[in-house]
Amino acid sequence: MGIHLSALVLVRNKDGEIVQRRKLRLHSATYQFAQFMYEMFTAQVSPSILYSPITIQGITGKYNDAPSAQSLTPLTGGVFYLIPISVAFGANGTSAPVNNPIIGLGTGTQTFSPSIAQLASPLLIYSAFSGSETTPNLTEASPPSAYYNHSGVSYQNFYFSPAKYESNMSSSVTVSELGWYGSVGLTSPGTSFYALMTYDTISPSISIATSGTLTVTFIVEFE
Amino acid sequence: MPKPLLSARYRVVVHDPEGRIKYIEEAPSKSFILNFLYWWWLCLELDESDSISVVNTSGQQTTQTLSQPMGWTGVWSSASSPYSGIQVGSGTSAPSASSPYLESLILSGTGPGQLSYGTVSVTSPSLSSNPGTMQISNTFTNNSGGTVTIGEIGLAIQANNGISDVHLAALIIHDVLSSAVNVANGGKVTITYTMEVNT
Repeated sequence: MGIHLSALVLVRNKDGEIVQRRKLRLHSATYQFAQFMYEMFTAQVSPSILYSPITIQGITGKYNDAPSAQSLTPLTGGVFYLIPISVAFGANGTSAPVNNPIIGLGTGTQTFSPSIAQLASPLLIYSAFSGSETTPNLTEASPPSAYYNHSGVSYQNFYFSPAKYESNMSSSVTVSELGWYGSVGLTSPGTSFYALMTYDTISPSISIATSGTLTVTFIVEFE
Repeated sequence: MPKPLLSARYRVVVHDPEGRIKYIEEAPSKSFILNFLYWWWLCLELDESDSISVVNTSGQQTTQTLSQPMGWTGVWSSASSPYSGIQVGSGTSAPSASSPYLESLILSGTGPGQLSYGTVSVTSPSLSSNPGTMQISNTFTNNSGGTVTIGEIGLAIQANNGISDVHLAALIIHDVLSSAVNVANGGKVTITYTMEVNT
């Protein structure tokens, strides 16, 4: 009994035909997720519960940057936001890498440890294809919504809006790791960063052919 | 079947008036209810136009609206707001995922059938083993003058909107004990929920 997080993965070829459909159970939560849950249970305006600042491994810059220790200090008399899927994408129409994705896709593998704070080999996700990238990447054909789909709240689950990625590489792009990145923010003193909440390897890996697409939908459900 | 990302266990310890342990029950929590998803959903999204109705179980049941932005959230309680955190009730019916309150909440106080709610404590997360855990605990003292029977327990969050400052206690987990347990006058019962994050 508990809360499960899954990812529904849909791979299409250049003609839009579905070539693969899989539901991946995300069952490897990181320390960041545990810390986040603790904050959800204890964040408050006037603490009657004493607790200490929490250090969490977060990323403050680009998506593929190395994580570093970030401190979350409980506030008294302030407003404390924890927003694990806040998103701030690269501007549409540019080839800038997406800075802050909910969904992290990677081409590497690593043995899971709860201290993992980054994908082994993050796959760059661009907001638009410039036509000049040579390293494997995906273009964000349809970004995940910053918001939950309200109508998706139902008896058993709710959904992240699906995100769609397109491969513009001349050869196929292989995705072998999947992570859920959450954004954590405090309104004061204005700290915000994002952190890896779950990490799973995908086996067998997913291959996206040239001009093919990958659609990922995160599903939260309970049993 | 892989373990869920998030699960819970509960522990109930009843002491008699002399402080001796009379009863212990520990079991996996069976019922995360729909309110949990509502709460998560509000915490995880950013659309300030979104809102959702939840039942406030602060002694009586009233429907209130929670909307973005969430100002704060937690499971603490206080003398003026005793029903967030851990709740106890006398009902014994199986919980329903869509039912947002205990079957029969035991009110905080010293009147007949009542228990004095203590203050919730929350431990810092322990992440040195798998699953990572944190514990939410409260003690209820029977000063009612008679025996009080507990059949159900629950975990309720308190939350407010960043703008409208709504305070409420919304039940997110509901469990029925294996059998109803008596708390003698002068005795107490300590209930602990252990949240488990599987890594």
